[in-house]
Amino acid sequence: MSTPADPVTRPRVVVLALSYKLTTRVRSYVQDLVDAGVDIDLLVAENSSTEEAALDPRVRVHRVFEVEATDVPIRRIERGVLFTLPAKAFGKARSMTVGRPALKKVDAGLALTRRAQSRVSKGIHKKMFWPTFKVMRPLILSRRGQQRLAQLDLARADRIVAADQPSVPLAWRLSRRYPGVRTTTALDRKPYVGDK
Amino acid sequence: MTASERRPRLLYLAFYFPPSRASGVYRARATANHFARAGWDVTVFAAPLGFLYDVIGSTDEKLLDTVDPRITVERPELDTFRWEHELQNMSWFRGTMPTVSKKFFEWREAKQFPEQYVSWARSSVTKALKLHRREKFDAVLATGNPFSAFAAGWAIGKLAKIPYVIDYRDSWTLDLFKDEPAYPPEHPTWKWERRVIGKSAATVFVNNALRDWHADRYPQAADRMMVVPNGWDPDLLELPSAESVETTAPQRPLKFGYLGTVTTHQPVEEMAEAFRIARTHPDLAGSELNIFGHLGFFKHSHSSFLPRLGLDAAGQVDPATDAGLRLRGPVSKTEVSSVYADSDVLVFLAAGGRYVTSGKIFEYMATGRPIVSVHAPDIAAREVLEGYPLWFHADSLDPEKLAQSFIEAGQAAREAGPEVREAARRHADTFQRDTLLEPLETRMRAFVRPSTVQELSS
Repeated sequence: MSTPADPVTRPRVVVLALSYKLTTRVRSYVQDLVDAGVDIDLLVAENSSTEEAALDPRVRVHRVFEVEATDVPIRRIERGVLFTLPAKAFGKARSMTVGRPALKKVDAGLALTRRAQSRVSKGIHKKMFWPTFKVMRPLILSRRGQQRLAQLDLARADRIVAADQPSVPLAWRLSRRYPGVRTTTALDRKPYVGDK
Repeated sequence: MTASERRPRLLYLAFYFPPSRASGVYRARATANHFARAGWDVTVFAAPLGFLYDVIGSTDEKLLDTVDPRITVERPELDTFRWEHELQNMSWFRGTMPTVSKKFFEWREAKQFPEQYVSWARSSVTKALKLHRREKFDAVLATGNPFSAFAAGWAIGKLAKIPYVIDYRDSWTLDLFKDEPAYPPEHPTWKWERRVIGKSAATVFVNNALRDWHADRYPQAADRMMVVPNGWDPDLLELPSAESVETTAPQRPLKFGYLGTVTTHQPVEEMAEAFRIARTHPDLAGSELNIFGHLGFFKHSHSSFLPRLGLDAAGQVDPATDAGLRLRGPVSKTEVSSVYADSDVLVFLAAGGRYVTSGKIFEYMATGRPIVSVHAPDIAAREVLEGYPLWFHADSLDPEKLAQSFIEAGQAAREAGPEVREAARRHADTFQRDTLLEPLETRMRAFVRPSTVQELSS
């Protein structure tokens, strides 16, 4: 997937877009730069981020995770505790009660408890876990993204562009590490495309 | 120095001030210059230069030279959080928690004033009080937008116990294109407007329609409301001399001109159709309507306008749909005079209804050229055009009627004698900025303590 950058002096821009999906705004920015002959490295969150994007093959795409939901331990643990383990436990319990007339009331109680547990788990996920994770996610991506970017020669990039909000912490860290490289949130085409 | 020797001090809050070349700058520049010439010690609080050069990027250094040298310009700080794109300049908090810091920033701004320039207004209050402690201001004049300048004027007036005047250069709570309130009833803007108008020593509007709309909403302050139309600036407009304004040679096709941005709100189709009809008249045979300006406010917006103007996708004349309109592109401020000089008739194409005056009309009148109106019949600009002898209007957007106005204006361009043109110029002279600003200066002079008035009147 990754091919080395051209050794000639083409301008090189590293675009960080760490939202779950690549937005039209970012895609068109990347395309405009590629069309103008800019060498582009695009870092996205996971495999599915670019699934529907139909990116130009000249764009070198890098990914922080294969699948974020399984690669981030806290998300794996949360899913296990709130959904997988209760599902297994209730499944096992009901396998012993279903179809036994003597345990009909116990089975009904288990089904009811399962529904209640499922509602509570979804509530915790939506109202508590997700808002907190949304704040923490950019920091997690920042740490893991740095490792991904270590293989790229960022010191020789012309600019690093944080194309969305979740990529700001990573870009901010890079701006400290590479003070000679312009690091910006502006999707400014002018230096490469001109005033067209 | 005794009190009687002291010039009255005016603090003028004008965010857009030279070298900015935003449209509102001309009124602010003229106001500051007028007060300085009238003997006031004027201090202007304007936008920081970094904001004008790096964020807005629309400046004109030459405009700075036209500011009276006696005026002191201060530039209170503006928090450029929302315009900051460089990661190197961002704090640890913003760089590490962008969502939280953005929410915090927006919450902090919203609780002070519902506008993005509130940090400038806050710095203005702090700076004004510091300067006031050193040497007292006699009055504050605030122009909006940004309307946080009104809030700053109110706060300075309250804390320094001096009168303040607010100048509605633009409309704030009234949507000029829909003729209806711009905010829902529960929006905090209303609370602020009630507050700033309620306590102001005077509230200034650019036309009577706007004054009346606000007077209806705030009847307790109606007697303190006044109108200062926009006018034109003789020092910025090089007019052809009266002698050179001659009738157009009968053999030459007429040149109609429109100067300004063409926007989606304007009756563009009606204008194109009317001009197409008018060109069939022998007096307008071969005439052209030259459009000097951008089509739309955005880079790609021109494509939607071209078919509406009877032009092809490249902006060239399409013989099948040609209405005589020609795109001449935008012109710089220095070329404006030559555009006026080269046009036989000026077309006043305007959007909006009864609250819109448009600053352009004053320059148009100053040229002494025939003017054709293409706009809604009840537009506020009527009140300044009434009495202009070379004004041609259909009082309708019906293309047939508009075409008749084009024909009459074309005939006037060929036939109007020097007396009529001089009368047109005389009418325009009543709208010179200095003339229009006099009542405001007189009114504000009345607020000044008697000891300083002595110096002014001597």
